[in-house]
Amino acid sequence: MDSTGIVIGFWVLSAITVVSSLLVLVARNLMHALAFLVLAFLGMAGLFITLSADFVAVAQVLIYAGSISVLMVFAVMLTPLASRDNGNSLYVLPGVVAGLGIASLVAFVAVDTEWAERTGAALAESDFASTVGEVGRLLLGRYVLAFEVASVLLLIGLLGAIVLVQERRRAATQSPDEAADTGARDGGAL
Amino acid sequence: MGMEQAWVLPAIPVVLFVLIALFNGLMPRRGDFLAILGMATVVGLVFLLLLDFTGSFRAGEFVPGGSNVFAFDWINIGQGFFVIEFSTYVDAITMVMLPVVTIVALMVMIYSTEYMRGEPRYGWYFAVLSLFVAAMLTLVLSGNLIQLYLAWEGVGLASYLLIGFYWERQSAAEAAKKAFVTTRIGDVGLLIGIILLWRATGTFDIQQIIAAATSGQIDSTYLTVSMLFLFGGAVGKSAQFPLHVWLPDAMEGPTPVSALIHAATMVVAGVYLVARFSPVYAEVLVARDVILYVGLFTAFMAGTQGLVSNDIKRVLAYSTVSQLGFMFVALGVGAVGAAMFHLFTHAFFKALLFLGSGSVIHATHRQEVEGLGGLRHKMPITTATFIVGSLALAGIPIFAGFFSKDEILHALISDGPAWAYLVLAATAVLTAIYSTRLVLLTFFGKPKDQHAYDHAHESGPAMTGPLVLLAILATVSGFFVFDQVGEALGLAGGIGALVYLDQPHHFTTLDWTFAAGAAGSALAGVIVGWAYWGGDAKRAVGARSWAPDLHAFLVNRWYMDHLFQAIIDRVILGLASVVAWFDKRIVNETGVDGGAQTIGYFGYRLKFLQTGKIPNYALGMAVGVVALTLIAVGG
Amino acid sequence: MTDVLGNTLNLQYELLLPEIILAITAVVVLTLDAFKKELRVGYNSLPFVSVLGLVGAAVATLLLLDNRGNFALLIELDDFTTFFRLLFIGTAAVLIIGSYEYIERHVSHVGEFFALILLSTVGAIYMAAARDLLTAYLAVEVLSFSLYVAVSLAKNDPRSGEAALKYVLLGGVASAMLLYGLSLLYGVAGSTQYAEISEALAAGTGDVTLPLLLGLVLIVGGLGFKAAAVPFHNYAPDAYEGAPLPVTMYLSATSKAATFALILRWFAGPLLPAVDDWAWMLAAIAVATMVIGNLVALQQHNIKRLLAYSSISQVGYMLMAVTALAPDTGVATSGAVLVHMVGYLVTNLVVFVGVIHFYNKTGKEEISDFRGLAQTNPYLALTLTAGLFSLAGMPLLAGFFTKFILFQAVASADYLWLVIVGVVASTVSLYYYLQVIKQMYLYEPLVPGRWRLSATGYLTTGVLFFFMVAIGIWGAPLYEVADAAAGAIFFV
Repeated sequence: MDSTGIVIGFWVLSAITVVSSLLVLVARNLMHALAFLVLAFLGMAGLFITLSADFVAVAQVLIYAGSISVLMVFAVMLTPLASRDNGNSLYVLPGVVAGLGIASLVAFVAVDTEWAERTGAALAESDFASTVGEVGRLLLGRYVLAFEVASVLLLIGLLGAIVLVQERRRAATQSPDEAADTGARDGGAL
Repeated sequence: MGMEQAWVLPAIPVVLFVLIALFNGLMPRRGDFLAILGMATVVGLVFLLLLDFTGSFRAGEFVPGGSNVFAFDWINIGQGFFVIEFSTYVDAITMVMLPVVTIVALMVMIYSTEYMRGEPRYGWYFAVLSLFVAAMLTLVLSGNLIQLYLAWEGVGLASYLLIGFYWERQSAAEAAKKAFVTTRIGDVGLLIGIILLWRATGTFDIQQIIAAATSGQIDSTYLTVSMLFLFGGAVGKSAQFPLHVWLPDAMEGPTPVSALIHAATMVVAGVYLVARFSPVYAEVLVARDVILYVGLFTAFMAGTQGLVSNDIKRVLAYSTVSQLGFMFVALGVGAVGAAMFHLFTHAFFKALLFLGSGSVIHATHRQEVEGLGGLRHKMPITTATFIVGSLALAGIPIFAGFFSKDEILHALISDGPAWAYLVLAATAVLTAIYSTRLVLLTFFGKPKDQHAYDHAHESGPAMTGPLVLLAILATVSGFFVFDQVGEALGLAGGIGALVYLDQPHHFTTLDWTFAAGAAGSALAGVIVGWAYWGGDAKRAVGARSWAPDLHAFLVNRWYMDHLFQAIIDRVILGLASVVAWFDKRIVNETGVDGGAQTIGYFGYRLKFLQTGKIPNYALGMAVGVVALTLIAVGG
Repeated sequence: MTDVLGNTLNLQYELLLPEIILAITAVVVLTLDAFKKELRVGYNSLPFVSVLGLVGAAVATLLLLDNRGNFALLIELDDFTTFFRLLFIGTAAVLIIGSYEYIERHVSHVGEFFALILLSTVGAIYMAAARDLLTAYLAVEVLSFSLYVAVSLAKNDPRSGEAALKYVLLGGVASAMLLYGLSLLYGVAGSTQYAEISEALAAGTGDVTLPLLLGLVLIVGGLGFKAAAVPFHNYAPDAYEGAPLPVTMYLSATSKAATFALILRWFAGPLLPAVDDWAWMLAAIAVATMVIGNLVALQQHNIKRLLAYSSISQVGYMLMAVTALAPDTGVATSGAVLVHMVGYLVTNLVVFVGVIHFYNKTGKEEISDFRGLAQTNPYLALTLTAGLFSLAGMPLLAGFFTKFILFQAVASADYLWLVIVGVVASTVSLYYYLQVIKQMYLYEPLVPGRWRLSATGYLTTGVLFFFMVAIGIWGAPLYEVADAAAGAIFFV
């Protein structure tokens, strides 16, 4: 955190991220909420850039702001009876109180602590021109096992998706009465 | 058979249990003869052991509080951090228990061959009896607390299985559950006590714990608390107030079982435990006073309840509770010898009474005194032996109960408060009254149920044999109080010198003046009983109508059961339902059922509202996090 | 080879053989399921191949018994890892052998189901084996994701999907908490390696006490969710009730054991220097869990919910022992946790396999449906009774000895009040276990007539029953193994 430009960038991007995350919560229309979510993702990507984590920033844009958001838009559009409004919860007040409690705790801790920072020479040394190469080498070298475990995780996600899709098809071929019964299941399937 | 091989005693019935439980279907007579032969062998071995013990005692080789006779490491983890041994320990207290357990068990098994004939699960019955004997022998032989606790639970389990033997009967199963849960409450105390003692001494070995506690290594408050917890275990097992409620209900089990477990052996485990730790209790007088007053109160309360009960077995159950109270009173003033002596004699005469009542039930299929009467004509042997038992219970001279009860009263008047002596003496009179009542209503007077009377008959030799033998024991077992008897057996200073070495004055000679007073009060009790219940019991009916409230109070067992039931219903289950309601409604809003049904009725549209409840769970978690942070910062 | 930071890396892939076998088996099972018609194989080939893979993995584990070391600084291979490898492989095998009939009839997507069980076992093993926060977190997610999917697989049961939804959403919240806590821990310690975290915390945390505390709270919260400790337990009864029975069993067995493996690795290893900061949190959670778990269990009518709350209370006992971890008695205490975990696992599996076979026969799961079981199937009634007694901590069964050793360890670490709460709470538990036993022995069956278990039912319950009694009577070998395993996780 040396140059003023980065400091200003940090605050602007943080404001974008935080405000759009809050708007996701209060937006009545699901599509609006999604739009704010994309904005929050983009703000996060910007924050990664200020940290010189270019690979993570690009990955954030591609995966979260790109594909995942598109997927969610499709999901909302294709869900026939999905109510587009974000219903009220009975527990707004306690929710807000507990949320504020946690937020203030986190904020207090973050501000109050003297974090060990890399400055000067150490910062310059760790400032790679591009992290892509390093990330690649680490991912297939030292962290190869983590990479493999992550692929197992993806396989499980894939299995989950297959299960849900087949469920939906079966429910669609049932009579309306049965469909009402399996509605719960569809709900469960998200 | 030396003391080193004492582990063989419980091993035999364990093997028999496994064999009979698994293969009783393949054996002739379902394996009952096997159980009896095994038991007879054990009795023989006990006498060999007794000879070895008295021999080493005479030779001066026996050291009380010496090291374990037999031990090997059962579990040893953490490089000696946690060691459990299997160990046996034999001393005079053990030697009192062993003959009691084995002889009564043998009598009961022989008796059961006739009493239980034709019952379903006949083989299982003998298997569980063997299991019980194994556990009981392990209990009295164990040299460490873990083994003792295991055996303690083992006898509890066997008792549970036998009380619930007729599990088709709702009341039997309920009684089994009540007994199990109630004694478990005591067991928790015992377990906590064991953990406390282990923590202070680092060992489970009983003799080492006693040595550590008597040498002042443990803080006295800590020791008092530990010993009170230990006594909690005894209260549960020996049916003392406030955990006495299970014993009368336990009479749902087969009668021979009541004789063995709920009169002679298992219920005295608590007495045994306190006696075993008596050197430690001598250090913590507060705990000893608690024992004294709990015993005193229980003895009196149960005595009054025994006055009004209509069920033969229940009268005997109350009397057992009361007599156990006597033993605890003796322990409460430090008279261990008197307590063990009463334990010894009580085992025989109470087993006799239970088996006698079993004989009556077997003959008439009735056990309410309202349906009996006049049976002396039909069942002479049962009547005679039952009267012997009752006289012993009442404390009439020459019968065993007289000597042992006299010892307790004598100890109490020497070392206890005077009013306590008065209460206990009054209880002794009550004992004489209700035992007279029981005999009169059952065997004398006119038959109240002619049909039952007509079908009554004397039981066969398998049942009367044990009755006669026990009647003899109920008479002669009291004579051990005389030094001459002990010396005749080759023990200088009599049995008393053996049983309790450091309190000889409680157990050497009989104080004849005092004994005459005790005998007189017992006789007075018998006479009162005779006056009220002799003939057609007009006076008794008159007394009942004169004080109906008192009668109701006694019949309802001082409303103790009602009180406990109310506590369980209102407090514990009430608390549970409040917590469950909170868990379900406040935090968890709708259970899975509710959600699924809502969806079934209202279909698709409500789905998102339904999932809207999920934030409440998350809210619960968030609150948890905040609370934890507060604890973390605060703690 | 060395990485960019100059660390020497050990990349011996054969050390990972058991997990590689499991993952490949999962893929084979999926393929078999997909090409069932073409390959002309029936349903039974799926459990068969799965068990074959598990046996292979177990054999590989035993072959690697003496190979210690780490894989690329991410996975530690020591006695602790071996212990849990065998435990999880065994649990998965019991699940598949004990309930494959149930799975065929009541689970949709059987191929995926078996694959999920195998893959989640990999996740569970790596939770126990990780020596880096990164691997640990990924392993947690592998296990959790498998379970999210598996919970939704009950056929024709509307509760299943809803339970899965609750589980996945709240699981996401818990994962976020855990991750945030781990980030804070990284911020404090400056490393994700357990050994380096331990050194950093031992060197003193003067300036960074607050973030460490917050990090610990979030870690405890996240793990508390995975272990279903109060107040992070709300999802558990719903998830247990909605899930297919074998998944319920898996949730209460492998999922819990893996979470505790992770807890032990963390709290006895890297976090041990900060013991004063977290001991009170865990004590508070342990008490709440024991009390609420046992009290609410009194009110349950459904056997799955009853067992859910009963397993919650068991979590309380184990958390209590984690509280009592201290540098000097730590090995014995964590050994006690391992012993209790095995005892609990074996007992729980006995009960669940019994309930699964009961459901196979009757299709019912209310406690009152168990009435008269002693007459219609005395063997099953006896097995269930013994299992429930063991859960309640009756002597001569596994539950008593393991629980006793657990309490003992806690008492020796000067948390006597916790022990007393624990002992009293476990007495309350006897009451609700007896309710089930009462139904089995006291009442007449609704549908008379004897029935028998299947051969595999007898096999699994018989073997587990044997272990349950063996641990209760002669537990010394287990204690020795657990002690050796526990010795491996301490840095000090």
